[in-house]
Amino acid sequence: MTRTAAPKLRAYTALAAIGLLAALALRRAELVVLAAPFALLLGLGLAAARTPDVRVELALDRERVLEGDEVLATLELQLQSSVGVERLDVVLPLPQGLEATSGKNPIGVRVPAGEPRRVALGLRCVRWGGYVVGDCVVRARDPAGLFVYEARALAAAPLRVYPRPAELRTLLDPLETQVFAGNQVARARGDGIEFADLRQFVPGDRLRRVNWRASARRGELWVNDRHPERNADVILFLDTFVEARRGDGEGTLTLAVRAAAALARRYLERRDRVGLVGFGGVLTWLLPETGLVHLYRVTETLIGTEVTVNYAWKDVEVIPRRTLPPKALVLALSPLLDDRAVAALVDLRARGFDLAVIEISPVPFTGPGRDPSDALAHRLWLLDREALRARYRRAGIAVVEWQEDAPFASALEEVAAYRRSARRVRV
Amino acid sequence: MVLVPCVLGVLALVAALVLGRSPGVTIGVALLGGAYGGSLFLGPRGLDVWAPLEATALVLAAELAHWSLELRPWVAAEPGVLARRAATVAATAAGTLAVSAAVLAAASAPVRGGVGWEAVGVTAAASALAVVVRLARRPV
Repeated sequence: MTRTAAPKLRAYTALAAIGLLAALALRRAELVVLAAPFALLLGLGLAAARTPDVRVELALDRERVLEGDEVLATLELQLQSSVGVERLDVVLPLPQGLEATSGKNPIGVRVPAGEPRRVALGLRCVRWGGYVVGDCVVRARDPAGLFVYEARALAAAPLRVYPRPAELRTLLDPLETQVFAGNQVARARGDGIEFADLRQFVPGDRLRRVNWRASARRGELWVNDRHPERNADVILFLDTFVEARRGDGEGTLTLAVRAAAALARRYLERRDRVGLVGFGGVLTWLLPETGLVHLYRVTETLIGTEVTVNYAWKDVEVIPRRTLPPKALVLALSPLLDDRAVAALVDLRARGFDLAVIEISPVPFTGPGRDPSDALAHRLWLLDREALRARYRRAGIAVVEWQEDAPFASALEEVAAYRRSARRVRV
Repeated sequence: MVLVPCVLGVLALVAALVLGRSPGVTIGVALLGGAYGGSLFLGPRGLDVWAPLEATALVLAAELAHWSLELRPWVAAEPGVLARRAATVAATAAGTLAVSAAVLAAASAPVRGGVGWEAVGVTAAASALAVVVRLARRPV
């Protein structure tokens, strides 16, 4: 603990000195009467001053929560010294993304010697992320208030806040499926449930595939063709070069991570393989896998996502080849603010990947400004963004703008509709 | 003559509390004490029996002013903490009254003055300040 002299110490010393010297100079005993209490308080206070040895421990009732959940933080304060503290001020600085809902922070408590005190504080997890709570600051004064003792108590408790997944009823289907069994009806024909077509029997066809009604009508054997159920590879491509953000912490990256978590969850529930590419200042990736463990792996990676400033030019060549398997659906979540990400997406499309871009609109996080020239610049910027979207569409990339206040499912539905209509036009 | 430092002292205290500056408390209390000291020369030359009450008032003013400054920025306290502090301040005031009364009683003792007593007084005052300084520097 660091000890600093309180203003009271200097004040009482000065008053006692002035009083005693004035009494001597003016030969008035009454001035000694005035000065003596200050001197006595100083003497007694200094003699009784002891540095309090405070031990602080923090416990959270849960270590893993979803966005919007509340956790109960309990601070346990105990004095190792034999003298209690009449008032111990405790403040638990909360990182952005956590806010106190119940209890007082900071709070002044009395801590008797040898008896632990517990202070409960309700925390609401506003934003996803990995947090370390508990770097609290304690402050105490000696009984006479002549010294202030302050210490930073490291009582770290980790807290993982997972993004609350959005409700998604439909998902974007890839143009082509993979070879493993799944829930996605493949375009290819083979063993499956979904009826595809009728064709003439050829040697080697299994008897149970014979369509007896069609065969009776035609006088020869006809068999049913079916679409097999296959899985798909979905790569979530997260642009982490830059983000547009408000002061409350909400920004394009926050929305992108929420959307990516929802997509990963739903695709993995469908037994598809999900991979992740965090394309930004720092490149992160997860190879496509399936299963519950992989869902946790993806979510853990997502909540560690952050924007790292990097001026180096990066293109898709830096992404490990196995991260982008052939026939995979690449779902890009990007604010389309950084030229490197914009170019990389065009490059992916040019390499034949089935690409859909969900533009996390940065518009709600920016204002046109008060100055007319600022407003004009803002309008030009909006037009520039329109032109970029048009360029993407000309390149055959499905791109939709997702605004903060709209449900993510509607943006996904819009992409699906665009892909359906694009397919019709191509035919 | 007495009124001016008295008013200045009150103003200094008010300014210290409004602006949150602790030196103002020291100046205010010193001016109030100085005003009292000045008033001693206006009246009769005998010992002022009201000195303990004056001392108690000054200590109370200083304690309350410093308490007020300590509470900035405001930190909510659990019930009982403020009440216990108020009781401590009250006890300090009562103790001040008792101590200053004892000092006044000692001062009014029929002891004849002289150079020896003068030297003892100076030594005592210097020793008191030295003890205070020594205690303040002591590692706690």
